[in-house]
Amino acid sequence: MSLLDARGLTAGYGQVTVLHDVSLRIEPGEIVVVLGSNGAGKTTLLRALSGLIPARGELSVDDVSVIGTGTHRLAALGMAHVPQGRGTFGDLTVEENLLVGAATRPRREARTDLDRWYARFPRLGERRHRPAAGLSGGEQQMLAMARGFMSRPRLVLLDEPSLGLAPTITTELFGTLAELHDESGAAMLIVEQNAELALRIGERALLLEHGRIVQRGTTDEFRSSDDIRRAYLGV
Amino acid sequence: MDLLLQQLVDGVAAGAIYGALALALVLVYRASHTINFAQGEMALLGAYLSWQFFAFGLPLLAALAVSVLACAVLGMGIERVLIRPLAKRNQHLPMIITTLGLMIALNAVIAWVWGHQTREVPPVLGQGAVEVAGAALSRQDLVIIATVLGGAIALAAFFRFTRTGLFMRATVGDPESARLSGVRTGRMLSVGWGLAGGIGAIAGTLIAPELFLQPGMMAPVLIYAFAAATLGGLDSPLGAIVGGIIVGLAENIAGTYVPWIGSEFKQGLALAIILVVLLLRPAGLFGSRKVVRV
Amino acid sequence: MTTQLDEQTERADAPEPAAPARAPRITPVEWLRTPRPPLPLSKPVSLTLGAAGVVALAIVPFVNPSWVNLHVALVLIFAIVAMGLNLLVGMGGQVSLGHAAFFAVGAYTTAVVGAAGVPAVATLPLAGAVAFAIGWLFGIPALRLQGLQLGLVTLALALVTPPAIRQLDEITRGSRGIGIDGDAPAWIPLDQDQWVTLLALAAFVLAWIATARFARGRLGRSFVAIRDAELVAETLGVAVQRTKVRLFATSAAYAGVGGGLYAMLLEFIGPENFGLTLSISFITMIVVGGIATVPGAVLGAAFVQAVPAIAGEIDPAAAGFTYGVVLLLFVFFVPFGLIGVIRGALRPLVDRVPWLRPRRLR
Ligand SMILES: Nc1ncnc2c1ncn2[C@@H]1O[C@H](COP(=O)(O)OP(=O)(O)O)[C@@H](O)[C@H]1O
Ligand SMILES: [Mg+2]
Repeated sequence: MSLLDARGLTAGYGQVTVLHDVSLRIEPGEIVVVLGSNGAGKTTLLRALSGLIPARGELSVDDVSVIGTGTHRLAALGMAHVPQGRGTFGDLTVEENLLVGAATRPRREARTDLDRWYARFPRLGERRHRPAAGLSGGEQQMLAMARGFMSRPRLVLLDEPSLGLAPTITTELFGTLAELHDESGAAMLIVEQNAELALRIGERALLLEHGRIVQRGTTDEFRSSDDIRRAYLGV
Repeated sequence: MDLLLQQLVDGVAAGAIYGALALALVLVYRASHTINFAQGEMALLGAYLSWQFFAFGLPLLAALAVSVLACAVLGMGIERVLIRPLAKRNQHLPMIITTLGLMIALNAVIAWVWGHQTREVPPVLGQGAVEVAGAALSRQDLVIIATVLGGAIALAAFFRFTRTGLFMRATVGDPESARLSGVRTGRMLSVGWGLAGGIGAIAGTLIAPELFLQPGMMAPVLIYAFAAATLGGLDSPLGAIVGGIIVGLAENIAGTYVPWIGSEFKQGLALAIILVVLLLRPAGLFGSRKVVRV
Repeated sequence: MTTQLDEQTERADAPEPAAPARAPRITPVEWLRTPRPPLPLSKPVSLTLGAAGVVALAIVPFVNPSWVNLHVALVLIFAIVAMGLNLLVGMGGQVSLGHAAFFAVGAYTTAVVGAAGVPAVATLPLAGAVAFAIGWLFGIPALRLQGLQLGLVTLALALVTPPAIRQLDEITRGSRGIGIDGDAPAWIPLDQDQWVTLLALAAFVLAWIATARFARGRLGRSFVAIRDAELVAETLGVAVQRTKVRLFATSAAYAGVGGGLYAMLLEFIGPENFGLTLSISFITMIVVGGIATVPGAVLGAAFVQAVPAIAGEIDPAAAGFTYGVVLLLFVFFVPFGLIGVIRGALRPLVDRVPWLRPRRLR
């Protein structure tokens, strides 16, 4: 049984269709990497998967059709989405950001999870009562990820988590992601410009061009493919 | 001196009402980024419902509770049916016209049902005044000030300490992120409108004993509430209350000490406040900068 | 501010679709919500239609009882105001909920100057000029705002108008009201209602011509440029702020002339004539009629005249209720107003009768 199964997904904005007939499956616990140049439709794919924009085609979670289902219901089904640009609530404190992330969980659980995240990211613990707007870019990304995991998701969609981060912090970020994956067992769909790092932690990969999936395979296949190396790995 | 003190006391009492109505405007603004021009008429409806249920024999506070509930439901209904579909279009004019249409329709319905003769809503703690350092404060004014301050603190606590309050703030801050986190954002918008409706009903019922309840009662109050909300910053609940009290004080003092303003033209002062604030400091005293470009 | 109401603004040079596009089946609601370009009538045809309308209206005052003339004159007066508002909303993309204030300024100018012995008809240009000046003064600060904020400020202006009239009672005689002599000069053998109706018709035609010239002129083009893209307009050398204020003042002048005629028609005015209801009926006109066309302005004006007269028979409150509900219905179901409906209904006819269209489209 697939965790998420999309078949023939077509979506866009108003009259413009951006995503054409995209099919993909995510099994429990696996990491799938989505590569593609700017404007290929990666963000649009993620937005369609979490119901932020209307899509045609078939979409199911645990083999139950969820096409047209509201975003907040998908969250309750165990889907977390860390959007491009992080989507932190700048006016809210760090702790409040995390508590919003636990909107689908019982109150008590949220409280205990808070402490776990503060232990993992001490920086967030130190700033728990400060407005999130004051955090640095790296801290904001930590916060965004922690917020995503506060719902104890089974599938996390990550949209360019390394955007705007310094290289060392990016390396650290992917280390953390790998750890989180091992600990939580959540499946991940990672959209990333930094293909090298993403392909290293992922198992399967997709290449999106002009809103269509043009190549799929294991991450090892991707790393050894000349085309991919030339276009995305800067070799 | 005593006259000044009296003006100050009256100003705070009046300002508390303006602040309450401004608070309702702010809650709606935060939810839907529009101004509910019908807010005054919804408060008027609240006052009439309180009067009606009181006349049916309910104790005043019970009548008020029924009225608050009814107005809250009305506010939620308006958000769900009229405002949310328009919010998607992302344009001001249709929203402005819609709440304007509501304003005039609601006023007409009220005049239709209850007629134009004035009705008497009793003050909560009876007639009479209390002496405060040489100024006379009517019992009703005391009730008004206490209710508005108490209500404002309760609301602040609601936003600060409850989950629903937190989710509402998250929805205002970034609706999409909130939805991705599993917050039912649509419901949060409705709750905002519902709270506004209820607060309006309280304001209308409390001010009714002092202004005479008739269909034209809220129009002058509404313009002061506009001024208060603008002064405080359209998206700041705290600003609404502070702005209301400043406007109430300014109105009372100017009306007494600036002869050419007199009693009639005090509303002109409200217009002037709105214009000056929007021009010099569009975010008001406590508003966020986001308000500026609407 | 870009509004969906803007979209149907006439663009004189917009290319007309050559053949009627056969649309797929749509629901009635979708049909009502469809934006439509102006009917492709040839110039002689539209001029003939316009002239016929004007001639018919000119005959009206001589064949009708005075209460009918009263309504006709009010429709014309309101249509003038609606044309002014159309300029503002349609061309400028600005909203004013407070034009009752400028209408009042015009009315009181006519009343006060008329009381000083000037023939009422001679006060009309002055009514427009004073409204223009006050619109200009109000516009200088207000037009730095836009969208919602401008709506708020102009609504506040509407709310303040009656108290302001009462406050200025040395000029306006406050709540006591003020009388106006609206009679024709002694050498013109017309009754007051006939005289004012004809004056209103003349002013209406002038306003129509002025609006048309305006729309094609340089000023009109600057307005449209500003509405569509303020920043771009600025880089093209349009003085954005000054142009906006001028547009607002011009629109106020239309309302001022309308107000002057209104005073002459009623012969007695007071603060309660210029309440919020009036401002709302102005907005109702352009919402119901549809923005930026003269026939739309007339339709809207006729609507707000007919509604209180008909609904008022049931109950005075029924008129307000009807306004409110109509506003809601039009926003949701007929966003392009009656003119949009008429265009949709007549389009098949125009498409079928070639001589109605300009030569290049036959
Ligand atoms: N809100 C939007 N409205 C219209 N078009 C959009 C919108 N967002 C993205 N697009 C278009 O969709 C295409 C794909 O965008 P996106 O999914 O953001 O690409 P990516 O995330 O791969 O860089 C682009 O051509 C972009 O211009
Ligand atoms: Mg993207």
